[in-house]
Amino acid sequence: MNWRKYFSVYELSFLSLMATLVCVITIFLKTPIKVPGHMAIFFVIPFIIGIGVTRKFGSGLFMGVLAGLLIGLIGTGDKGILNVFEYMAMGITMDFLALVFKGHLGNVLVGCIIGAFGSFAKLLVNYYVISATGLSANILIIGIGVTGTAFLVFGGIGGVISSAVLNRIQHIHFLNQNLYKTQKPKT
Amino acid sequence: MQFKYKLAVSFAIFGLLILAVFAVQWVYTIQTANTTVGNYNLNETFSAASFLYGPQAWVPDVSKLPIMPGVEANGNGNFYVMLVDLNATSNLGATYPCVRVDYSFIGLHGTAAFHVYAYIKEKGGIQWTNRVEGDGASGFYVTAQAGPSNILANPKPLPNFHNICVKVSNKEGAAFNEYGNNTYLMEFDKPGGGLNVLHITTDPRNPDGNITATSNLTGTFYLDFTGHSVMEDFLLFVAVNGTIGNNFQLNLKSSVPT
Repeated sequence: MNWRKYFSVYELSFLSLMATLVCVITIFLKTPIKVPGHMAIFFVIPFIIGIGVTRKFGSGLFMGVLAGLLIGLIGTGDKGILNVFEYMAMGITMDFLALVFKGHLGNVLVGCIIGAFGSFAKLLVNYYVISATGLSANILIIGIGVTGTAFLVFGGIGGVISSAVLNRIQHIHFLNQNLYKTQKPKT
Repeated sequence: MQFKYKLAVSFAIFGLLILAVFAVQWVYTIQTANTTVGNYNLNETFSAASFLYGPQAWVPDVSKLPIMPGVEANGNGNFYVMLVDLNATSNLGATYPCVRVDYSFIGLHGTAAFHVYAYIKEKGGIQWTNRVEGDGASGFYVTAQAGPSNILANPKPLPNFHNICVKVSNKEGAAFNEYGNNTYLMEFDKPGGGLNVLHITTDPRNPDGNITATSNLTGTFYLDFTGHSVMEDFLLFVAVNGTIGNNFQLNLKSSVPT
């Protein structure tokens, strides 16, 4: 396999846009909901749409690394560059689940599972990073019941939205890779 | 495996994860909290002369916060205030990280309000305090039989609610004396920020804190922080109204349960 051509320019551009959208959502979108993890409803959407449009294993990881770096380097992340591990974990988890449910990403139940498990993976890595860096992990464990459930539920809702959106945009001409592959130059 | 079975297994794992996180939380929270006093980080008695600021009805934040729930922050307040450096922060290795504060009043003829502020050197000053009103509010208020308000000669109201240097009333001065004049910079620049991480609680097992109103002139409460920023030093903002006479005394002891 030629790794340099694994993603096309279109795909890389689209995934980069989605990763940037995750960063923008994290920084600028403020909601009055005071439940921890509620932002999962928003930041899983670009991930699932990115994976669903490119349909390639590794899309989630690519977006995770880019989104984590952006959030960490711009300085809004509370753990600096270590934020990259959270988003990487989310991307890898979604990549594997997309592989398991290959061809069914438009199903809202599948979207729910991918979104929920992806955001939960982010939470787990967040706890691990906090513990490893000597921060106050004990305090966070006191509320992990509600926090963990919130990440699962809000991630799931975000996943349902993503699948609904994917269903609507899959027919769009420029997103359909098969069209490009079968297109022959006019003679 | 067929698609429907994959989906069923996934939702089963979904349910199990929810049960697992609550199980972890339950196992953790049935542990008892250590509230034993070790060495005191602060043991000092403050008098009427320790009030350096006031009279006022507000405490500093990104805007004026009411000094007590129900008090009009922009109104004419009659609280005199002092900032006390507790010279302590939570021990993150503790089951329930917190700072224990023991207080004892003599000559209190009115209401005393306690609010917590916290300092991180790297962040350049004090940027956090407890929420006074609304969801997530916490605070500790001691009320004794009120006397008529008297005027203290020396204190002056704080000049602003943020971007101000506030002097501590400790004899030893500030634990982090960055400016050499025993003051801390209170710098609240994020709208609505800084109100979710510091809490005052009467039970360390409830780190989100609670509002307590009591008439006990001697007692104990706990200060803690939640979130990712590790506070380096806790400070107590003490506000008292009513008659503040020459016999007024407030003894404060801070210690860190391990």
